[in-house]
Amino acid sequence: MKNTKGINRRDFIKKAGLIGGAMSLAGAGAAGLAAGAASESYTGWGRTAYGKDQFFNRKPFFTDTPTYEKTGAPARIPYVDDLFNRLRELRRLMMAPPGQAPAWSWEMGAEALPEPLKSYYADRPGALDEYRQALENARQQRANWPKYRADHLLAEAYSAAHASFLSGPGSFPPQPQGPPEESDFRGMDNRYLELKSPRHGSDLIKQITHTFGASLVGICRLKKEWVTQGFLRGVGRTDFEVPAHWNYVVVVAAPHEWDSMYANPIYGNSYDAYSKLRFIVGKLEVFIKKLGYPARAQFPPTSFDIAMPPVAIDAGLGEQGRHGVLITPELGANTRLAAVITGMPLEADRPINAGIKAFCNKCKICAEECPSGAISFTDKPETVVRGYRRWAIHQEKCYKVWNTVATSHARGCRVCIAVCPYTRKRNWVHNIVRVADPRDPTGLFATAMLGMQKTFFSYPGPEAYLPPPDGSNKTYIDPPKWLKTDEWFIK
Amino acid sequence: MNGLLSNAPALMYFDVIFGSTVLKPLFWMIMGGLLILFFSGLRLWFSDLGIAMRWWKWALFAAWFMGVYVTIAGGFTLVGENEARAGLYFMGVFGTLLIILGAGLWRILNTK
Repeated sequence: MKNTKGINRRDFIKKAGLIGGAMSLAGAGAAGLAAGAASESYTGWGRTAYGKDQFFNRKPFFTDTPTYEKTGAPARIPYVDDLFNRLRELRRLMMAPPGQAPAWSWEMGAEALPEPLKSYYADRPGALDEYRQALENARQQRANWPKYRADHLLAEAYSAAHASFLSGPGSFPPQPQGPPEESDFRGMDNRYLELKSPRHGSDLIKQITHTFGASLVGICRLKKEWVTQGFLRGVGRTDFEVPAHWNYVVVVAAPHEWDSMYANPIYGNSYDAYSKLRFIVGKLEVFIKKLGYPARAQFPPTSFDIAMPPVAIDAGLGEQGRHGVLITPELGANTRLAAVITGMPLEADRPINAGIKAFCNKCKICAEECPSGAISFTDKPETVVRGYRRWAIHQEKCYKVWNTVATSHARGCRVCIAVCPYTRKRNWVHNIVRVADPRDPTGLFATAMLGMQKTFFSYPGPEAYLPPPDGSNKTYIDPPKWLKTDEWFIK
Repeated sequence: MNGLLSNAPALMYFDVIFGSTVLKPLFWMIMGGLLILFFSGLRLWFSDLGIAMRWWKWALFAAWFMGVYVTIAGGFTLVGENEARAGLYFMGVFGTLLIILGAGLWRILNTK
């Protein structure tokens, strides 16, 4: 039917249809762009408080066998297995009291170290030399810093701000004083009400912990082999039995701020997540004590009496990756951990097997990108640590690079966290992968995703993260505007 | 809005739509309307071109169009989260595949 203006209704609908189709495709692009950049996709920095960041359905992946591989008799963890404890001991030995010779110097060699350091380094030839090289790198790093300061001032200030309350009189939570049988009960209210059931206790604790800012919360029974030996916070160097009230662990996870984390190693920092976690578990310790139960916070960077990745695995939060870091379905490797050990009766969660460890067998991106070469390339974990076969990074090599990147001092690298394919924000594209990948029994989906990951995404290469002459101070992804000094200051 | 959009202030206005509980569903209602308009017009185009559409041809076309839709949306999602290279590769690879599939589809649509 023609109208009087020369265009009939049929032609109008045909043309409008074409325009509509084009506009809807443009709309799809716009919606995609918005989804990729949406604030709500920044898991852990948006809807955490009501538990909405723990969005992965773990139930289909519950397993009675945790994904760590037991190969022998487990043993407690010597405290010098932790890099920072080890370095602290070495520094203490090398620092001479006034008027005296130091207890140990490099010239004396590893054989002259006291136990347990002597055995540790005897089992790891070359590790001590790596640490010595790290100290030399640190001198060069300090010398380089004036050259880079104008470029990286905001990243430095951002890191320092987050780290500002880690130590000193304003530090929170306070460190335990005295043995756990005293300090874990200090401030506890003995007039407690009886819980309806351990399940009620777990649900309550999770709800409260989310409101404190935890993105992920899980609960497990504490296995003795995850407790360190040889040093006890609040007491000092001592061998000790695991206290009777250390029954359960409430494990808490929070991510680094995503944009700065992707701009590692220079623009990211560990302290943003650390500071969140310290407040969360510090408050949770007080909360549990007020309910009438003993509690003891475990918090980064070094205030731990237990090893965190295995308890997080037991609590069903995720699986350990090739880089040694816990990988969770929601946060990937952008997962930092803290905990509260408690005697409160709770219901433990179950570990999961969502195919993460199996994916790590194939992926190797973190190993390929690691600027220190600290991550293993083996097809499967080969190192046996205290009765468990797992991937173990070369800690001293890793630390050496901390002392090399263009920051004012050794404040980490985290490239392995940034490049991990699981380290993805929450949007529809990555959610499809989160849902489909662990449900594919053939592994074809994971293989296809890994192929796309290695083809489509750009990786600078391991040396590029280092300063000249070895590299070019690259970051995995360019920093956000708010961390670029030249966006705000005249250089 | 963060990521790419923090470096492109003009695009921050996206948040006005996608951060709003009222405007966001309104956006998708408009998108639905545009798709109805598109398929209404397409029916007439096929008719005028002498293409006899059956239900299964519509289903094939809808699946192909959804592929185009998801490819564009997925590519731009990656661009939005600061992975521009991955987004462009994504659209390039799957876009090429869809063009090839589209050519095959066109031959199928032209069968009686």
